[in-house]
Amino acid sequence: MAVFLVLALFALLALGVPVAFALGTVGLATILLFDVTSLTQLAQSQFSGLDSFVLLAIPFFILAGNIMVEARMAPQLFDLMRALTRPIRGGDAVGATLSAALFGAMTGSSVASAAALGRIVIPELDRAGYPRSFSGGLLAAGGTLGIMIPPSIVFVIYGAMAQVSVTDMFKAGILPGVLVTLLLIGVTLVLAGRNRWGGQGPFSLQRMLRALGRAGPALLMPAIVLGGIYGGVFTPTEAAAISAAYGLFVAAFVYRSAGLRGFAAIFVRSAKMTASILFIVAQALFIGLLATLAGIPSGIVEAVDSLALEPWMFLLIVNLALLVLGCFLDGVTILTVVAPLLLPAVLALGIDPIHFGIILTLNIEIAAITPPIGMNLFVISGISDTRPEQVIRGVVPFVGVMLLALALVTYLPWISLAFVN
Amino acid sequence: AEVKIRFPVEYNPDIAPGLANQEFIELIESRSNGEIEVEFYPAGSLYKGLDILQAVMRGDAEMATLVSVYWSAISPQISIFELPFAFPTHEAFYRAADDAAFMSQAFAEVEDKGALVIGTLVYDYLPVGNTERQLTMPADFSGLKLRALGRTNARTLELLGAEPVPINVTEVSGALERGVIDGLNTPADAFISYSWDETVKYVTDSPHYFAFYPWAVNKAWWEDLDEEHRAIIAEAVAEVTARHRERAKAEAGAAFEKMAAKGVKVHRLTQEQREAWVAATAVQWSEAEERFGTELLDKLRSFQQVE
Amino acid sequence: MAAVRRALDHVEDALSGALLFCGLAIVFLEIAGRSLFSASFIWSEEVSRYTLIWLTYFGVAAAVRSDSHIKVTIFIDRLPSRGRRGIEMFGCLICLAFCLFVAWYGVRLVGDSRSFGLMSADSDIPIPIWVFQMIVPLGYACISLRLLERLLHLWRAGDPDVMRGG
Ligand code: NA
Ligand code: NA
Repeated sequence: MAVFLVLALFALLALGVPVAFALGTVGLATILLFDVTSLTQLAQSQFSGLDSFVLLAIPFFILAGNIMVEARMAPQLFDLMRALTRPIRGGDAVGATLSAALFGAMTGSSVASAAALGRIVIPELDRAGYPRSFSGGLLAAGGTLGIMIPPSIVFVIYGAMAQVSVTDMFKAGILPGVLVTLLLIGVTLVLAGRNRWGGQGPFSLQRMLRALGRAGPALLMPAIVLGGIYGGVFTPTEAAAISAAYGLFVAAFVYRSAGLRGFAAIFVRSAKMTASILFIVAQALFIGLLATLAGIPSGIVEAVDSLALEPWMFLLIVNLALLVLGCFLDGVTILTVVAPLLLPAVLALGIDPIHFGIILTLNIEIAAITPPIGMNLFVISGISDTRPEQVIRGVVPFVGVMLLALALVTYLPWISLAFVN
Repeated sequence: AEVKIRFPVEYNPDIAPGLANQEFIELIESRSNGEIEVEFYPAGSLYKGLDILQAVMRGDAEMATLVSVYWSAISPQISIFELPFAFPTHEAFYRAADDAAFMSQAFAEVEDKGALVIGTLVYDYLPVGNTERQLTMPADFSGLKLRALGRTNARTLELLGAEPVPINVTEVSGALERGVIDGLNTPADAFISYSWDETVKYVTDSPHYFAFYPWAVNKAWWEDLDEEHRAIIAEAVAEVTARHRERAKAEAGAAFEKMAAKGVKVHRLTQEQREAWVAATAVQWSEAEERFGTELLDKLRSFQQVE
Repeated sequence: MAAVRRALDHVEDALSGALLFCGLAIVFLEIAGRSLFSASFIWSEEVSRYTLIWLTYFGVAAAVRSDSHIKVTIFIDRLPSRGRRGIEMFGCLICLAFCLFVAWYGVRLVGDSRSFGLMSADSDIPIPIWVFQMIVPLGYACISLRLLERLLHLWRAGDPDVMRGG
């Protein structure tokens, strides 16, 4: 049955059937062929799979992200960061990376980050003399910070599935997010220095202050969201709602960037983006239910047990498998299909599920920038009119350091768990 | 195996009711010489909450031990078990649970709709823990945000003066630490197993709510079983649930000791305080009487008498 | 007539956007009530959850119309346009079959919940759960219609790209 599931799924995906429909159809076919549960249960799962207050954070974070894009907060942040990093060689690119990290602290998804920043930053980096493959690769990789630096919809979905606190996931993502940011900056500095890309300029306090003034309302956003979650008052879902409401307020009254019609369009767009993610989540949860009925997760536990795998060996195998899967599958699918299968084994081995969630997230980040199928590669290529091959060439060094980050995060659990009690 | 039982539960297999489930499974698998096989799905790994109930009703699961509050979703009168101070002593609950006529009357609607209750697995009382102050009189509840277990319990906490807050169980730890909620009522050993005793400073041991799991089966499946298998299962349920009563009580006692050892201030309601809590929540009984009539409630009261 | 047609074209978009707005308003009200007036709405958590489910399935239908579901196209992109059209139509038929199954068993699900008299266990909402579960047959019927529409377009136009980016 497991073999059938996997083969049928890959066949449908290769035929271009949307991920959610492919998963759902495989689930349906499994019931019809193997009679493991009733078809009414399939219908029931469509409802109860999404019946979760935790998941409600997703549309709100997506909405907040879209509002920020609409309010043109990305250029404000980039201007501010660039004003700070101008004096170094490669400063513009370092500023772009820092903007990606900051933007990551405001949005919950990686594609949104890459698209919003890429549109603004790539033309600027062109002007500063960076080759397109480098800037495309940088933005594709930098965009993935959107899911590691909290808030993150990946953490929300993982929290709902693994029954761990989303707040703890948000705490756990901080240091790995900083680590990846520093590594990306490292690559940027080395490449820019060696190839003498980009210019340098004197630091101008005036310019910096002017940029700070414009970016101020945008910078308040992460302060409100994360401050609200860590410091007291809100659950993650509520913090997401507050951030969306704050974004609406800033967009309407500070940046005056959209009228009523514009806001309505943002709501519709956000609802559609939410739907395409949650549709996958619902189908994947049903597949997980079938897999549980077929005894697959407990079979993995037994296999781990009979092979006497140590936690480090298990994690090594999982990482290698996810790297391969990540070349072909998108992040939401990896997260929702793979995580439920592995979690019982993770718990049996005594691995902290929060630590495992961070490892999974880093794998999803890498999956977004590895060919042939990497969402961020396509997005960057699309918005900047660059051939995908060029972006892929440029992203190679960044994938390299992210693999290094993966090794560090996997084998130094405290990077993930330092802020979690 | 001739008979396969899909048996989903919401709680972890290593807490007291989970241990009882596992004993049951060992018993029936060995007594039936392997003719009955149980697929046990603990910790919500197959279904959670109302999904478990619907799965049993439909026959997508053959058996479940699901906390009684969910069954009131299809038969509101089951909420009488949740009325404040319905079972002032453990013995009061045992008397009710052992009265077959009363139980089948209480769960009649559930049976009509397709599920049969073949036993009751006790959990224990829900002591109230909070971070702010020792709860002795109802006035002490004023302004406290407490997580409740379903609507009947929420109403009880509200009548005592607290503010019931809806919050997901996975967010309780964080919410407690950050003051989104000030406390909750939950079985004593849950304070330990979720480490809530690290944030909660005060716990009041009060018998206002006795939690239990109706041991339910899909009725059509049950009636289709052959006589012998049915007898094996019914006997095993009776044995395990009876033996489990002492364990549940002991677990709760041990949990209170552990909490006290950790510096949590544990208070047991005095007679006078209990009467004040009963008075504050008495209106829930008349509300229930209006909804469900007096017959069941009089019966319920008859189990309360102290020998 | 054209106006009606246009309105129907975007009905799911409008519904899912409006539901997102409602969900946001409910959660916002709960926060404001709790922190400013010390009043908590015990129904808010539940209703906002149902809002999420409803917005999802209307959103799914809307995303079928604009062909914006996440999918892998690098293999079929390499095919000549005729072959691709055939494969797209085949894929569409598969999706349609899935949706019709779910819609039909969604009707059964709603019927079951009605006969159980299933009510909320968490709050006093006087609305039975089958009303909320109606989104399964309703949503999947909408998605089926959009798939049918797409199938007809593919049949007539012959070029899968005409459906992109609506
Ligand atoms: Na983020
Ligand atoms: Na990839």
